[in-house]
Amino acid sequence: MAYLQTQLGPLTLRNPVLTASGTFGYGQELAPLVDLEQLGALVCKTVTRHPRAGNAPPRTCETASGMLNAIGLQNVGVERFIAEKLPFLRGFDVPLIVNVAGESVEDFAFLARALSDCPGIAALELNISCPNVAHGLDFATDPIVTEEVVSHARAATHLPIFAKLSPNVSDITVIARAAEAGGAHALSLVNTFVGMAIDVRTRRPRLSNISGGLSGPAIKPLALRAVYRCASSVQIPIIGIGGIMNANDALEFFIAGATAVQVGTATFVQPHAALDVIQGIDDYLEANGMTDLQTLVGSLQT
Amino acid sequence: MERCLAAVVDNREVAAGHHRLRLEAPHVAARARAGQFVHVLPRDAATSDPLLRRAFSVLATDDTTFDILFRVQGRGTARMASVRAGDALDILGPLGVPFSMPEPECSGAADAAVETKASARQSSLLSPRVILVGGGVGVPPLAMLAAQIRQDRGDSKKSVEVTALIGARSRADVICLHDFERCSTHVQIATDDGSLGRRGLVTQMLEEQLSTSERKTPHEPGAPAPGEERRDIVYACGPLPMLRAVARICAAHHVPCQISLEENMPCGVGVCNGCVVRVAQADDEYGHYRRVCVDGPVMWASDVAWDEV
Repeated sequence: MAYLQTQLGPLTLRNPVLTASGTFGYGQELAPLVDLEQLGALVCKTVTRHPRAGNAPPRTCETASGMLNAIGLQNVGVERFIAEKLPFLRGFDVPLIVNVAGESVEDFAFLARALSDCPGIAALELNISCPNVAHGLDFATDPIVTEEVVSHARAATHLPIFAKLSPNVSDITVIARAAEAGGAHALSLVNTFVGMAIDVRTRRPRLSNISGGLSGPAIKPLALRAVYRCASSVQIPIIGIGGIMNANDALEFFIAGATAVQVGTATFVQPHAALDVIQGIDDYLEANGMTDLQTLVGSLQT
Repeated sequence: MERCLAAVVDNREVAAGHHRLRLEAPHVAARARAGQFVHVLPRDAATSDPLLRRAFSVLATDDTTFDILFRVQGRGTARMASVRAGDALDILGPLGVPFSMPEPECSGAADAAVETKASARQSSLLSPRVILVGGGVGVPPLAMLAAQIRQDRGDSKKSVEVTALIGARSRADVICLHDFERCSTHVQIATDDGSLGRRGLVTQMLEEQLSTSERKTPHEPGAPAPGEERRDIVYACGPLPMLRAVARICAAHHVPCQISLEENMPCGVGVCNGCVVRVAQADDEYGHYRRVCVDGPVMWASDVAWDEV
């Protein structure tokens, strides 16, 4: 599968399929079921400066061909991540991309610095777009703040920086260009769409947090269009995310302009979904006599 | 834990809206312990809706098959109610923490002064009397526990006395009765409308059981032998209000209690943190929340923060 090799800025991956943050934990739970070393990269659950307990339950709710989540960035904090979670992942030959979220620009810089010194980390993904926490963690609705966060993170580390964008904006290309200007090596888009569901019997929201992030097949058309628009707005590579359940879905994203993809919610349904996508892409290239996936990227004919 | 396509062997409606499904999956049959569950995809792989797997406690196992019993309450269970012998269901399992098995040998009270929480829990499993408290469609894992206790201990000199207390809305909702009757010493039923057993709540029966147990003086029939301390242990599964009441009653009587919790589980394997329950005391390992799918579904009742649930 040499022709699946993928370049994301300075980072070389053996294939273009990554796990989406929040859907693979820190690798430990799924390692017995899934061969981690076949993944293009593992993007782990968001790490924050301080430990976070997360939101009160109910945190999830199934919707039509999708689900809402309001987990609330539950995580052990960067100190315990480095001490307890990182060592396990270092034992596997798979690039580790650490997703980080901060409550301020300074937090992002702090996290970037703290993780810089750790061997075994291939890149950082800046979660500037989580819709499930209060008080302005959603930096990615503001292009000026986006550029500031990215440039501060870049200044704090030698590691490649990917910016994960929110689709909950009027024009995502404005944010994409701001992240590129700030020095992002690649863009991950999209994070979840804000939504809600209501229990008619009790007249209460189904989520304790009232609203949550929508993911799964229902958002694929929306995510695809965001990728397509951003691909013609920036020079840096795009990692496409949103409702990818199988290889065919992934191919749509490549054609739209994504260089790589992330598989998220699909993993809940099938733990080995990401590996199936990789195999499916390989089968497609072979069936079509193609030796380089890159010829597919951005090949949409309009 | 493994993923497989399990062939449907049998699907029968055992009570109105309740289906007992038998599936062929040798690794589940061999390894599932009472309290564990399987995560079932209620559709073909080619479709995407309903999207997520549903969790079902294992009710029984045989050589190569296992049974689950569910009530139709949504789109996923409606789909599953219509499968026939020869169909196949994509399952993941067995998953989760099972019930801790009670030990019939009773060596008297442990030295309270040096007991740690862990050793206290270990010694609380030294119980010759098990009380199962099941509500509605929560009873299957308890039926499996009763069978498991009988199988594991039935031939030992000190057998375990199992009292099954079953509660349901009405006669039509009582399930697994034969499973309990086969494996328990006593079975008592309570229905909201009195259409089967006595009229009332299963928790009332529990209160009576624990109070009676305490009141027995050394010479009464059923009382512990001199030097032997009768210890009850309670296992419960059912609607949340029932579990809350069971936890309260057991705490008041100083009786150890394990419960099996239910929660929506997107992943079932511990990666999404969606299915959490708040714990009474945040600890280093778990923080404020535990995942029902991998840190449960079985937990000690006293670990749960009932005020916040």
